[in-house]
Amino acid sequence: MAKTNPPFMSGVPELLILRLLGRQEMYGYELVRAVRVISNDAFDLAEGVVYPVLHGLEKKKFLKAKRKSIAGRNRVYYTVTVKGKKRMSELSGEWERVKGGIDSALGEQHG
Amino acid sequence: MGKNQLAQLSSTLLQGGVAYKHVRRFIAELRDHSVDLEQEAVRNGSDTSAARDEAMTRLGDPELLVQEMLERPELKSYGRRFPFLLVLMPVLSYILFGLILVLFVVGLVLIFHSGALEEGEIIRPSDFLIEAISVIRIDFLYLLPIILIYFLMSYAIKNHIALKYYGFGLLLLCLLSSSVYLNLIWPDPANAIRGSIDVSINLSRWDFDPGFFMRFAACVLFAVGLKQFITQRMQREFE
Repeated sequence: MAKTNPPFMSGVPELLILRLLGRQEMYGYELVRAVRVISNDAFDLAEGVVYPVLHGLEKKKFLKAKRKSIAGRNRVYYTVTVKGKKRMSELSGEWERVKGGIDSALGEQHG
Repeated sequence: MGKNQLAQLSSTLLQGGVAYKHVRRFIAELRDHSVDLEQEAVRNGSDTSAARDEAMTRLGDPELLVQEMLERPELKSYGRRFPFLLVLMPVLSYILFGLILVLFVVGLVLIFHSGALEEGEIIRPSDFLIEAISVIRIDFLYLLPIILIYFLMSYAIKNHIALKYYGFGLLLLCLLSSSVYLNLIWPDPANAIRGSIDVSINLSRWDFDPGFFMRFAACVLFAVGLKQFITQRMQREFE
């Protein structure tokens, strides 16, 4: 059966966030900084936009949010759940498939 | 991000149907993120005013942030998605909790007097049981409606549910809870009277029962006062 393509571009922030939070728990500002570092500032996003994504992922049970008070600042830390790890592998697979297709198309064009 | 902007943002999100718990956390996170961005800009050599402007730019346009939140249906409150539930929920919750309390009473009787019940013997219940059941009766008649009104109204106001839905639901709750009677007859071995629990809705007594009107008026007045209180508290919270 032919695989359907999910809206893969809209899945990119989700994939990045799941991957980064899969390594360690982080709060919003920390996460945005990590995205900047890992992507070499490739994404020029409004930083506040990360929170709707985080809340959405938490609502779908891919993330777990926990309040922590550190150095007098009360922050919400996010961490990936088991369901979130499964979702990350699915998204990674989809991304690899799409990336392979694009690489192949570009290679054919340049070849 | 300034206080007024955050208050405006929260109001727009709540009106758009985003659940209160998400709005509250989102605002707190934005406020916190903004402080972090300002501190970063100051560390990089900006003065306070420039740092604030830079933080606002990096955080994003409030309209964009609102759009991003509103585009996610999973963040909408259940009350906004299914407002009709708020019409039935108060009455159904009252009936459910009422049943639980009645079962609790039956459980207490079974625990304390199972032997007598098995033998069909009529005995006077212990003082503890009489006290416990009397407290449960008062809780059911007077405290339970107040607790339900508090939780339902808090939920409805915080999530910007239209008054027509929860108002009708609370009116039904006030009508039901005011017309419910719970009479207990304690077993009396001397007169061979068995105990009984009588729960009834005395609709026919509305015309002349001052107890009903007193309870109904108290219920409605409490709900109206509570609405004012919660609305004011909400306004202060996001300022």
